[in-house]
Amino acid sequence: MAVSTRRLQKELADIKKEGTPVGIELLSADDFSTWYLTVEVLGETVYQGEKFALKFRFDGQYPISAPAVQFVVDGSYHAPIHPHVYSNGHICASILGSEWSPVLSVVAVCVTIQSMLASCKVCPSVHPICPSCACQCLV
Amino acid sequence: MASMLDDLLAQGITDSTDFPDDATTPGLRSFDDALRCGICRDFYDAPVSLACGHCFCSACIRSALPEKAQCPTCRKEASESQLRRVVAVESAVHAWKAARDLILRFALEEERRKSRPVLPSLSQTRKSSNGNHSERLGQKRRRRDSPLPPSSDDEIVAIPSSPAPSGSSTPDISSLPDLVECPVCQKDVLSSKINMHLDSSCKKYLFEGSTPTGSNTGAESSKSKQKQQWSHLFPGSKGKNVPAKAKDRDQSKTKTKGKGKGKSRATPDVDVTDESLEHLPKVAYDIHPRQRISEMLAESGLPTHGDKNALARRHARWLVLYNANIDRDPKQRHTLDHLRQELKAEEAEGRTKKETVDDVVAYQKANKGTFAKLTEAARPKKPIKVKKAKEGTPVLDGDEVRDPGLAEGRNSPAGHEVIDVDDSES
Repeated sequence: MAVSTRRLQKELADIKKEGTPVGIELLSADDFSTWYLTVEVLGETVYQGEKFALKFRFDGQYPISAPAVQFVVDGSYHAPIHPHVYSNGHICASILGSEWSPVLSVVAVCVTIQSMLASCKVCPSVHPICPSCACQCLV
Repeated sequence: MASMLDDLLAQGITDSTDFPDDATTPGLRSFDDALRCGICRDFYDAPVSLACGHCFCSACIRSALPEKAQCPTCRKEASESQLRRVVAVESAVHAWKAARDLILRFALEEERRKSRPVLPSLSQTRKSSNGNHSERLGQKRRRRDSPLPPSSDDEIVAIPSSPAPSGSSTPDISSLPDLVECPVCQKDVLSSKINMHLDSSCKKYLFEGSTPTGSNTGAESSKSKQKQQWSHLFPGSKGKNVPAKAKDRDQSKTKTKGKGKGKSRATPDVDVTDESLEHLPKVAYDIHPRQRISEMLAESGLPTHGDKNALARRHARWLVLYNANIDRDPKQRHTLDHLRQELKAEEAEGRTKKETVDDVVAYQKANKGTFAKLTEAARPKKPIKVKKAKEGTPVLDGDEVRDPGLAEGRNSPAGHEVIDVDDSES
């Protein structure tokens, strides 16, 4: 059995048994190549009351290689308006590219993104374009 | 699809969350977790540590370091030369694996005992409290010395994902789980694991919990005994065997076309239990021609089909598996044939799962239309910089100037333009 499959099985078993952190829910994990999770930002933030869906795609090299993560943009979900998130759902986060570490997990990525959204205090329309990461986006 | 997932989950995937939480059985879950590698989340297999002190399976960290030369946990700089075997952890894992089933049953029994209400006669309350964490935690704990009434059948809770489902309804938890004798190796195996045991060529899933005291040495000796038996059956599985050597040599001979006597830098037919075995050095595949990499593979008794990239990938993976095997306790090492099988299985799985582009040129040709469409979609946003150079004089356009000739040439391959640029620069 591939390492990636075994690892994802453990993560899934963990989620099923222990549940996920507050504000994060498993939407679907029908196979070991694509998972969907939802993220809500709790507390007083600009995203109050909104629910976003994240799409995880894993290749056979996971967890050595990072999963491909983006926000789902379709009829029912949209991408959050955030300086590091493109309208098509692409996320500009170093841990999804150059700073990925194999000890991270699906839940850890969700928590990071949740806190990334939570730390956005100003109205996102003030600075709509990622100012700092233009060089990292295409990693 | 979902049922497939449940099936997979039901196969003995052990996890530290099998144990009750720390309030019920303090330390057990953390202990199980402490013996697991952060990368694969499995028990350490050939544990090695980095300079920062973090520990990983040898194969895991050897796969991770080429991607990023830092510790996955603390991000401190790291390299393969820092790796040192952690023998103590290895033996701790070995012993824990043997004891785990038994301890888990104790732990679950303890959880059940604690979850019982103060008045055991009220079976109604008892049922409702079973498996309900929040309710249980709020309940007053039963004193340890209070006599346990013999349990009746309705008290036995189905243990979720317990690897040793005990069919007995007696509170005697030291009774053995249902064991069956393996038809091939005559060893005791849990009936739920027998299929996986057979699939692993009788190497794994042996029931080791039957001798909780001194099980360590017992399991080891039985393992080595088993190894010997196998080496009789399959001459290729043990290096010391003369027929094995001859067979391996024949293989490498036919593949390398009479290169030496199969004895060269990385001879595959060595005794894997030899303590003095050294790690194989890394190879810079870029500086070697395909032929050389192919020879290296043949020397290790590996298949030599595929293009240069595939060969380099295969050899790099082989080095990881081989070097990780060296990091195991010599008695626990796999045979080289076992490693070759592992590599083969990995490749087979990788082929069906992931589409890799090996031949870039052919791939470009096949997807020319798609690429052209994408290029066209991207073009209008970009200012056209280079006008067609005439008679070798470079003409650089301003941003506003557009060459109408290029508009229809947008579907032409990108190479066309590159040549233009080269011309103008020369």
